Amino acid sequence: MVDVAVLKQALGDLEEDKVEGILGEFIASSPSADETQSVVEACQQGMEIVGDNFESGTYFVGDLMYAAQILTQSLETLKPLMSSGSAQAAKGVIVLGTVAGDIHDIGKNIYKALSEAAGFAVVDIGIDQPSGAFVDAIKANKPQIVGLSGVLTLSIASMKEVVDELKAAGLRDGIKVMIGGNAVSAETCEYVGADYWSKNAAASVKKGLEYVS
Amino acid sequence: MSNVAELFAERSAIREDLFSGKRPKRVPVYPNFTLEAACGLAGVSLLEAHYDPELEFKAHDKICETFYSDSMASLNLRYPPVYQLLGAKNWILASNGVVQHPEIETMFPEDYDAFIESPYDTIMEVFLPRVCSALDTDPINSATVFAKAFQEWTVREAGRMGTIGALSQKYGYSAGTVTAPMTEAPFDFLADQLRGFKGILMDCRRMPDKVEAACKAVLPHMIKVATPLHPYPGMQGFIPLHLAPYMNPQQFEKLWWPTFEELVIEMDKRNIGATIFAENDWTRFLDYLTRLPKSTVAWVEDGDMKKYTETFGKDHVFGGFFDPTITLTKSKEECIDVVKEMCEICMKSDHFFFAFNKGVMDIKSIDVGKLQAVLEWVRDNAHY
Repeated sequence: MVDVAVLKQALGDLEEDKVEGILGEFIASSPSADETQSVVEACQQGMEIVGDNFESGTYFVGDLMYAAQILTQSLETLKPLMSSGSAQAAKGVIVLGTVAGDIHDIGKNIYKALSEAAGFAVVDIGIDQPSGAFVDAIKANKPQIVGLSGVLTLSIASMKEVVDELKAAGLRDGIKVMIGGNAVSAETCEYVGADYWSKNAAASVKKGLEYVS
Repeated sequence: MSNVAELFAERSAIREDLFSGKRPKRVPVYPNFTLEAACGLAGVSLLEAHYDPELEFKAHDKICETFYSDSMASLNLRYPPVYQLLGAKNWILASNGVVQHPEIETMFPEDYDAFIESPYDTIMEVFLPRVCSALDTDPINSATVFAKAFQEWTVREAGRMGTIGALSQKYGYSAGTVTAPMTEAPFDFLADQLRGFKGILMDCRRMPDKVEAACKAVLPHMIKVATPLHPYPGMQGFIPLHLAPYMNPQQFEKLWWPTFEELVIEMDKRNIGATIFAENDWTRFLDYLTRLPKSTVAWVEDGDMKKYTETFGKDHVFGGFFDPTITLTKSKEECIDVVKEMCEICMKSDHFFFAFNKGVMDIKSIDVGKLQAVLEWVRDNAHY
């Protein structure tokens, strides 16, 4: 069995080779499902260290992306050992997408990776998505949170269309709408009718955890 | 006509003062709208305007007629027919007809050595065929496609220059902050066009020495791109800055900054000032920016305007910061209060120009009447 504290810290310190080495040894030891689950949790806790370092200004977006990459690779490595019964229940469901007219997905993908690391189930509907696609995904997945991403200023109008359509469909109550990306601000949040805005993916994840707690 | 001639003379004098280090009589007004916003305002189909120069002209004219500016404020830089001829994957049309740059990976990690050895050859022979499907053919057909696309580009560029000339003459505009070709910081070129945003940030961790060598290798190409065939004094080339705000200080100092600084210094030696667009927040890099040649002009998206004024703005021309989308939610008076406060801070420097924090891309992202009021307020009140 690996020292989960060492693994957690290695991920928090962005030591890719060390994390890979620990997981390689772990897999070779034919671990049980429970042991695997504790290793998965250690990786997720490592991401919390990363999030804290980002918040304190020690880490930057590139570091966050690198951490997300290490986590994704780690979970991929551990996947064959994870039984469906041992998986944790999701802390909440997020429907996420880049709104119509905008094809950017980097910010969306960072937010997705961090949200999954924090225990959310994320339904990513992709880029350049019309408001109807968000409505359909919300009806199908019953999320607590909807994440609208957009880099270009033209995404503001598209975000407003999504919120307006949610209202028209009677889906707005009980759902928190979060907007993120280079185009958003306090003013656009008010205009769009969203609950929260941020250009900082880690802060958005924190707010999401508050919403579902 | 005499009124237009007077306007041109006044605006040219203001610009001349600004760019020669003197205090102008008032803050110059250099807003920026893209073709998408222009089409929205003029009620013109964006898709049709991409292929119809007359419609495009009509859209730009509508912006000029509607909003006060001291320079040509409505611009288009991307021509879909060029990219379609090339079968380009790095510039594509989104569902709404807006040309956008998706995340792409044209160069793979294993390509670094060849690129460092010979960047131009690798771009021409390996990367362009990868990113442009119509170039992925035999040399004769590839050369024909390339020639056709280049011809289309020169025709569109000539049209763009004609539009700027005609509308500048009609409205009495002076030159603005950019008068020469665009280039990129070597690191940003590597990121935006070759390795992709995610790829380059992974490389910074996994193979930083190769990234550093690649930036050095491509620097001469970026200098060449910035240098016009027929240079003239007082030119300002454009460099949109991209990746640095996402990098940690060590990566920035080792990988991003050195070749960018060299590029700007080399441009300055050739009498080409660099007008940089500081996308995102560059406040933490102000010490670096401030040591760039005095010909460097900063158009700033976001950041601490007081710090910009007190550092970079002491000897350099700068502007930006104003978010036009506030006009959607604030009253006209509140919008003017925002710009008034901004001018109070930034006019402590003699080198400040008024500009939006980024080009208006969607006419629905602003309130036309309030934005008109903001621009006119600056013209009428931001006097030294």
